Amino acid sequence: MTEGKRPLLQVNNLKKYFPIRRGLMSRVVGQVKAVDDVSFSIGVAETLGLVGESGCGKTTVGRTLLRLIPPTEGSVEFDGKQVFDLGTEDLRRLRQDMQIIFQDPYSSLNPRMTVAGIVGESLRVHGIAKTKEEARARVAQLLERVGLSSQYVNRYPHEFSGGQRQRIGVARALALQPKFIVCDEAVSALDVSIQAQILNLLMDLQEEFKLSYLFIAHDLSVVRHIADRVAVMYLGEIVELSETEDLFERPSHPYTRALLSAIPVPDPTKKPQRILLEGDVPTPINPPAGCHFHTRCPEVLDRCRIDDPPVFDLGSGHGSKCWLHEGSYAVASAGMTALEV
Amino acid sequence: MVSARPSQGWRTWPGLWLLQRGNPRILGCLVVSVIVICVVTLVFRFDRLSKLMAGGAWDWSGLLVIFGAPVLVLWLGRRKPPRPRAGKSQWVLVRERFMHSPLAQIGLWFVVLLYLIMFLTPFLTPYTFDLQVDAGRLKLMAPMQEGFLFGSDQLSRDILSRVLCGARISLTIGFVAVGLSVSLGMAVGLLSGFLGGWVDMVLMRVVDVLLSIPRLVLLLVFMVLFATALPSEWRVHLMVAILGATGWMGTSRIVRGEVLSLKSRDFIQAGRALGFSNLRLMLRHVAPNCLAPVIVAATLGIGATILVEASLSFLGLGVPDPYPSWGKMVAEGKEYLTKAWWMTTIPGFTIVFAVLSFNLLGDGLRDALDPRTVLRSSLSTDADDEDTDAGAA
Repeated sequence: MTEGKRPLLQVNNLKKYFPIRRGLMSRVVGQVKAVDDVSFSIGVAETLGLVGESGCGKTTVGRTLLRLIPPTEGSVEFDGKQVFDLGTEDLRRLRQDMQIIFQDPYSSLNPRMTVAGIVGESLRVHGIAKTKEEARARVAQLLERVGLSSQYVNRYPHEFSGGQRQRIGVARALALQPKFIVCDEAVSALDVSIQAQILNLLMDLQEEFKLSYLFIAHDLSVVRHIADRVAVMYLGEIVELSETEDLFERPSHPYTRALLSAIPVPDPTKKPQRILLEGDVPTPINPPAGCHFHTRCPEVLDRCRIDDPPVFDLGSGHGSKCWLHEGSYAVASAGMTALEV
Repeated sequence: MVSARPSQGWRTWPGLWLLQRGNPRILGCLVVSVIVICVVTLVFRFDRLSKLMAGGAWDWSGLLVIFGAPVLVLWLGRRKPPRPRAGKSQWVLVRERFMHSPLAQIGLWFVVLLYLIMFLTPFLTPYTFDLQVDAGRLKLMAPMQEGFLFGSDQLSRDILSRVLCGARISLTIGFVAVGLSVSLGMAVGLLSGFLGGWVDMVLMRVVDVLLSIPRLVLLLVFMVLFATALPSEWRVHLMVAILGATGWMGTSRIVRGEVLSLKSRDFIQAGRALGFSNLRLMLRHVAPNCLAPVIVAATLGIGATILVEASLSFLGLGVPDPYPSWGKMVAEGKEYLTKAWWMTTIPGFTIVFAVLSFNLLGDGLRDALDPRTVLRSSLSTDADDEDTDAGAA
């Protein structure tokens, strides 16, 4: 899969702070910096993997750029349109092009609706299917496409297994023929064998419909399988972004290296070299000064505690936000967005 | 192959299958229309009961029913395309669980019996409710005496007839008032929980204020204020309106809580991502999922409302003379407690019977609507439900 020249989605300096309110008058006493200055781009028919541990803001990035939660700052350009500036009606139209697949296949489907309703409702709402029969026919077609029998249209979600439910979720996202889908931990809740099926389905669909994915996950082997490029997040920031193979061959940020060393190797004779990180993730309410990672970094420098590192351009589209690269590489002027390939 | 007689749902009732056969479906239409006309007239025109039974003229509402019913029935019986095999919906599962509880079924059948009696009152009562059978003597007759099955009251009116007519009034008041209050409570709870922010703040403070006023006192004040200004036939309507308007706060709290927990579920987020409007999300996605506790609250609420109506009538502010209601009959009998125990005991017992039936039904529904209620015959389904709960938490 090749990267499109013009990005389909361009995220610039996205920030999302959740206010912490306390007391009688709901005073704002602090802010959770869930996403703190994140920038990246995704090309047509490209998959960007977004990895990081729990609570680092991956999901918030996905939901904010779809405007499911309001952003604090920054901009998102999708297909030439400023997503955050759109009015209600324009946003509604844009929703046809941007969809989301959720992690939990149990809470993501309305238990009181049949599959026909779940998958087909948006067709009627957006006027794509004019009649009920048209919608049903389209739903049957979608079900077949995601590998379910079209006989299932009148069944309810509780009659399906987790993998089947996730396929229904995929069919729902596909119904409006989007250009871009956020896969929010779309396979994390499934068995490994089912994970592979869903991943392959997603990749087939990408080829067929020229879809772009933002693939949010915490499982690095899954991301390696599906993503063209990978962004690593830590405490609301992207610390490293690179082509997938490049990232796995030369992980440059100490956090990425620690993450990669934690992937289990299916070879009992090999003794893995684990980089164990000390301590817990600091709270995003009051992130550490300087580099957010300095409290746990095994290669910490004095400078890291004071100055926030810029993004260094490591060549071939590889960027890393770490002072270790100072001297050997140049600072990328536009951060993670405009790395030379 | 498609059989000539459809074998699904209400069409299996005697006579109704005719709706599906023949064209035009005149016969079935006629049968059902008559039933609908009877039911609608009897339920909603109880204040004109005596007039109708004395052969009074139909007014515009009667005509509306006569012409409306066939249209409704034709529409209900219209030919529908056959559907492929449908799965068991959540409601079918609920029904299966409900049918496993004997107490709940007793409650259900008692409630059905009550409403059946209510519909059939004109055919069951030996006298009209206000007929003074032996106006010359005005003697209190004990049960089984001189043809009075349940005895007679101080004005020589038949207690049986009055209890049956009272059922009609008490049950209708309970049903309509709870219908009103549940709709109001649903609307307020949905808006409050779904929109959040200042809407939630304002609505919930209003609920807090209303909850802090004792309901009976509020009712008494309103009844005293308005009762004199209205013609006496309208007093029942006023009572229904006030009972409905003062009973919705509990429901709105329940609904709000449900909505808050549903709002964080992914299928609501998915709906937003698909560009659904707030109204659609509220009515199609949130509301059906918070119906379960509302149904339970409504069922229990009918029992409670019957009791409130009884207390109001007991205090002399309920149904106007000469119409009977159970509470009013108890009140009338209290002066003759030593001489005629049946005047209070029989309507009193029917109140207990009705409220108990509704409570049994409500408890049964609560168990049936709770997905964690385990049935031996469908363990696997329930295990899945357990998974859902764990996943959501």
